[in-house]
Amino acid sequence: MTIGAGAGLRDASELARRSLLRTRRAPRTLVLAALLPLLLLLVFGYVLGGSVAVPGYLDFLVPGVLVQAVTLTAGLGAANVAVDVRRGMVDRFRTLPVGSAAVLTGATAADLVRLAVTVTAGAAAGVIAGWRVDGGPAAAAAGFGLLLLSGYALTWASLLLALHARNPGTARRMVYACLIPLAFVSGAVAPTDPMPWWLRPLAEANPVTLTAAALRGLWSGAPGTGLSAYPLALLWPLAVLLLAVPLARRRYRRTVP
Amino acid sequence: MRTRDYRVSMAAAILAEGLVKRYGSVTALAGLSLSVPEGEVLGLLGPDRAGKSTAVRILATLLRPDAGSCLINGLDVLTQPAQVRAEIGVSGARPAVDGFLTGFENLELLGRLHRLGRRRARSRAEELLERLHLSEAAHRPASTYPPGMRRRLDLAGALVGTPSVVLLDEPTAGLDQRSRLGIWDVIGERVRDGTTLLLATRQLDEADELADQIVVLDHGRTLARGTPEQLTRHIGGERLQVVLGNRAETQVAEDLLNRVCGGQAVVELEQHLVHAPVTSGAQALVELVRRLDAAGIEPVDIGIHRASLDDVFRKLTGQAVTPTQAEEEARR
Repeated sequence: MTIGAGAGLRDASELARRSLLRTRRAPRTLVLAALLPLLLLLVFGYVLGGSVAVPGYLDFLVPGVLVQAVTLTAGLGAANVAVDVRRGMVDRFRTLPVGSAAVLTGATAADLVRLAVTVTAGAAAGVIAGWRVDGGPAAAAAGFGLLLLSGYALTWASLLLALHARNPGTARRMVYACLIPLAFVSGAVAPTDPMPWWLRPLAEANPVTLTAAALRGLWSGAPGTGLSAYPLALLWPLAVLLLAVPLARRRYRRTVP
Repeated sequence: MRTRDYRVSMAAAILAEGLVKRYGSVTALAGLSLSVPEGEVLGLLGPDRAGKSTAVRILATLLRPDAGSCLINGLDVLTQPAQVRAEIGVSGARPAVDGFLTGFENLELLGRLHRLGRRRARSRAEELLERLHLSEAAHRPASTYPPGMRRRLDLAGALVGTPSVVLLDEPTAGLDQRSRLGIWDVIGERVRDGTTLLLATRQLDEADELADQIVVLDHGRTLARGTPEQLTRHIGGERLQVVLGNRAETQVAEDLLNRVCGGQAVVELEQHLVHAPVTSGAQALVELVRRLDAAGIEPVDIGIHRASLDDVFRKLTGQAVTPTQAEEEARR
């Protein structure tokens, strides 16, 4: 189907408006997005950690918690897509002269807002706990940008999974069956060295571990730290997008409610 | 039974030839051919799993058939889907309504996606809400609408782009009689405006009320086609039916019914039931009551029954579509 880029952007922005209206009227996911990083910080920093007093631990913990929160927030919108499929909304959109890219991109607008809320809430909580970003505004911005990019890539992956689900409940379970191990079987909140031999390679290969390491490097104020993690931390979200976007579009064009 | 007696006219707004769709070993459509002249209504009548939704989804550009071809307003559905989408309005088996948006916002969004300007999209939304008697609820979230209103909003959504061909899949499924009549009014109005309509339904009265031509489907096969009158004549139309107290009375009633209706009475002795086809039901009913009275028999129940979809299928396939009826009752 050929649709001009201008028309496609207009369609996407109309559909983005719809997804934002929906979030405004049912702000449950937004509240969850804001609470997630606070809860993670509480559990890993104070309940389990108890070691916030150890110098430098907040610098280790906060970037990890932020990546975890962003990972978990990325799946919050997945059920909505499944609802649209089931309610026949997707069928309706597919009989309109509107492209798949516009419909799906529009649907992810609310996810971007949720991701921004998660990052903001997590960073604010970190600052209150005494965490500071070193390395200047450019490093800070780069870090937050990387967080949003990673979350957005996982949003598309969740969307792709949800489009394969038969109902919203299944969609949510499928998405979180992937996102929860991704967030927690990682070196996000604890170093991987003491992990058992069979778990360690898994945790080290986990993209969440890579991103957390890159963020720690970026925000450490010491140039050169975590340098080895940068390219992969930037590459994996791009690779996920490159794969998930066309697959989700293909799946969308064939959905059956 | 005539299965290939359809008109192939150049003015056909919907033209389908030999549509086949299989899902694994299940054949959803086994070579469906249709021709709907501009401005006419075709009823696609059949029970669940007859292939109605599959046919609608193929014509709506949502599903690719395994074989066959179809044109809408001369445009090829399979190779020119984008152009076809500009011609059609579709209402699927489930009302496609976003419950978080108000009725107005639902229609405004669809108007914008039909590339209407902001102002035009709004006026079109207002116009349709007015026409479908939804103005009062225009600014309430659609999740608060009762089922009949949801259906009307969905129908309005299908009309936003001023389509010349409208495809409806069971537009009154699950609605009460009053809401059904409301939907029929709206559909009738569209038809008077010259819209071509394909109406998939499993309700005989709905097809009877709205369709110019009916195609009866079962398991993807075309069982019959014709005008509602032709089909009703073929099936037997109205039946006069009496339920009695015992076997002896049932046998007497059979005799009386045969005299009133000129033979053709059918007895179901176990159920103390006698019925026969009638042409002028009311007259025959009065006559039978009079005769039963004279014979000193008081029937348990007496009435005129219109042919149901079940009757159509019993007649056409020799077997009832009982699962559908059972399901239908379960739904209520």
